Amino acid sequence: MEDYERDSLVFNKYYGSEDKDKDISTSALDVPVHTEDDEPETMETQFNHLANTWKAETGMLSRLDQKYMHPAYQQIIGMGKAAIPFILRDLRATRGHWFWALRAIARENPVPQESAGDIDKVIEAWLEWGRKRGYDI
Amino acid sequence: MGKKKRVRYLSPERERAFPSLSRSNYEATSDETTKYNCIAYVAGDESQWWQPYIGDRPTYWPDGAIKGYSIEALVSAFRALGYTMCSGGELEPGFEKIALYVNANGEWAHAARQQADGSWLSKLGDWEDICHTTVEAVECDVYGKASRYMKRPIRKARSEKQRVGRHESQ
Repeated sequence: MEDYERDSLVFNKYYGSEDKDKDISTSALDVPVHTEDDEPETMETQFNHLANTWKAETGMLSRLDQKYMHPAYQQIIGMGKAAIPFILRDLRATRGHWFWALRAIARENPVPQESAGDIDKVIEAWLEWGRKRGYDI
Repeated sequence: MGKKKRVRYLSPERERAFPSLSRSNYEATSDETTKYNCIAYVAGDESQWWQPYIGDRPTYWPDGAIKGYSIEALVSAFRALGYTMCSGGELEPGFEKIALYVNANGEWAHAARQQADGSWLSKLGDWEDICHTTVEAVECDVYGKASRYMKRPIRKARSEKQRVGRHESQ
């Protein structure tokens, strides 16, 4: 059994899965691993596949810690800085839970202390951070 | 002639996550949003996500409540709002009740709030708010079962926004 298969089984056992019999060989976790040297289109395809899987499988969860532990979310973090423009675009469009991944990849926190209590300002701080670094968002 | 109210539902894909949910026992009452979760919704706060701070974004957890994911932690959070333990979810005049759901690992996973007519309100993670006729309607692998009930006098239930603070400090 591959590592990612084991990860998926552990996640579903721990957090529950609506479809325990799903053939995980067809899940998003089968996406080949790419590097930052890959073509942007390929990286975007991979990101979209993982992000859609993550949203579908964790959307009903009420706890952020559970959402972040999902293997697809962890694989997005593993894509490194190449994932940042895709994450920022998705953050702008969906206002989703991307702060954990952004902080893990960027190793920065651009959110001013005085804005930390306002989710809208937190999102804007990250988008502005991306614009300043030239990301196409 | 007035317009007939259009009843909204979850997508069929989302409905499949809840084996006991059917279009005869629930309706959706909001659009989906990532701004707040079920714990915030039950507490009457639709402005922020309620969870012990984990370091990435603003979240709120009541002062003095146990931090963590044990059911005791969630009970302590609602004790801070004036709720006390009770034996079940039957309608009790003068009281507002909540149901706390515990997953197979003994951790809190969901909460619902009873309305005056005995129906229940839930926010489904990032998905929509729904109104369901029974507390069991949203029991599932992910949320587990409703295993704790709490209540408080209805007169205390209003204006929770005046009582809760903002996010936990970093």
